[in-house]
Amino acid sequence: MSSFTTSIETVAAALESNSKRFEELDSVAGDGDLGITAGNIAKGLRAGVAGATGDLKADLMLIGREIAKNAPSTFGTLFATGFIRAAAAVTEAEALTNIKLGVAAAFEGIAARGKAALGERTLLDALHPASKALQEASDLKSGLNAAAAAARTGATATALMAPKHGRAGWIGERAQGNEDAGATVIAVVFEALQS
Amino acid sequence: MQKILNVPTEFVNEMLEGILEAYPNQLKAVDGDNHALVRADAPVAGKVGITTGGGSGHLPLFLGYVGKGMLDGVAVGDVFQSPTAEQMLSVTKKVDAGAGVLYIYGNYGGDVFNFDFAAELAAAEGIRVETVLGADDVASAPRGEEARRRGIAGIFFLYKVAGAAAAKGLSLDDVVAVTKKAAAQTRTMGVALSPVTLPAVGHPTFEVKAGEMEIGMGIHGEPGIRKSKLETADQITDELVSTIRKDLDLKSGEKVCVLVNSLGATPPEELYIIFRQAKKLLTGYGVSVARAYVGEFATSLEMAGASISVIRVDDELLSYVNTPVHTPFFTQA
Repeated sequence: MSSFTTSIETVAAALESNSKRFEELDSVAGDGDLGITAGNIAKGLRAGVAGATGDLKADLMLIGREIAKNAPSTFGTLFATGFIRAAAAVTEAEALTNIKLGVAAAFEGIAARGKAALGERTLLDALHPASKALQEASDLKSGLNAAAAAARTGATATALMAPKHGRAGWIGERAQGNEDAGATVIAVVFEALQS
Repeated sequence: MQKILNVPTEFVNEMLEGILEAYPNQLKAVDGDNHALVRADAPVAGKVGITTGGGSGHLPLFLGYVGKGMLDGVAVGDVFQSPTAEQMLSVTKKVDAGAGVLYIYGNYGGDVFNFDFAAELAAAEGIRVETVLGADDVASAPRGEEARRRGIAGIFFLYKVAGAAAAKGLSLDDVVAVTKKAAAQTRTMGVALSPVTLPAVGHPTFEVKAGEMEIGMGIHGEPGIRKSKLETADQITDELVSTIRKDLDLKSGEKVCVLVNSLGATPPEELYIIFRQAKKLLTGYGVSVARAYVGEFATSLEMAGASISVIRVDDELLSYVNTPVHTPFFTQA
């Protein structure tokens, strides 16, 4: 296995082992199905790894397609969008450049598809700081570590934000006090990627 | 509201099974998924594929218009829920004959989200997809904010025009252009007299009090613009038609087609009482009615109420509206 496919496997395992936590957070403000969705995303990630060829562009696209198939909910579709946009953005460059390009494109794509802005208590509030930390990194290892810390800080900060999207948007302040479930998923992903 | 059901959660699946059994020569499922339906003869060689989709609970929308002269495929969601992008993609692949695919569907967040993603996935597979949204409900957002409007019964005219243009052999760009033209000339406004019960929920999820009505209520119970005591058919029709006329800026000497639609429980008798007054008003404005449709076109389960749709037509649009079609739920000779 390449380091890329090993990383994807690690993320899948982290999503599965945290699914109960996602479910609990999502039950406070959403449908409570984010645990199931995270499990389905993990299935998509594993299916993508199973079909990986070593061509980063093609592999990211395949993973995005498999997530779309396995996790057709709103969150799953946003997650899949991230991989598909990353696939379009990566080049022949080395890993650090590609992860910078890929994560930045994923952020832009998800923000556009979800029609959400920062500060609206969504996964973007964890993904944006992670991407920003990566862009400032000069080596892969420190970049991934900084991204994990930034994603966690971002997810924690959503506890004070008022929701505007999804079911969480209708129930307003009831969601506040707990961190956004989707932002927590992103934090778990970047924590799995750090060494 | 009493319902004839087996298992409430199987409502959509059992409905789809029944529809496929009833129209085996007109519809087929893609890869065994009844939520992804196409014309039995899809793909039609050389033709732009017209695809739609949306939640269940609105028959004849959306699947009822899949057939000769109208739509090529449809993705069917659960009650009032968007279908998935995967279902939209499998329909897209099945209806594409190399000439590209046009998505026409109502302007609702979940549907836009999934159809946009399906279009992106289709593009990655080399299929060109364009989109025209149905956003005809004048009560859902004011003039100047037309892009926020929801799509309701007026989408029928978009299907009619796009379907006829595609059947005639127009290119994707030309079908898109004429469908956008139709969308720009179409307006709808409705009134609701009762709420609906989703089979899997078992009780009404919003309220319309007995003896009252809500002008402009959406087909999923979205808030309208005015609640009041139930008025007469002529009073209701006056409000709907005059609002549409103003929004569309209808002028004397112009030509329109009119569609009077039941939201589910309102019987055809009442629809003709509405049409009678609508025709009188339009004639009074100096606007001639070139074609009328009266019946069930876009419902909301058993909601009582009706909507009026108007499309301003020129010779081009009228010729497409007049083209014969044959689909499971709608035939025009």
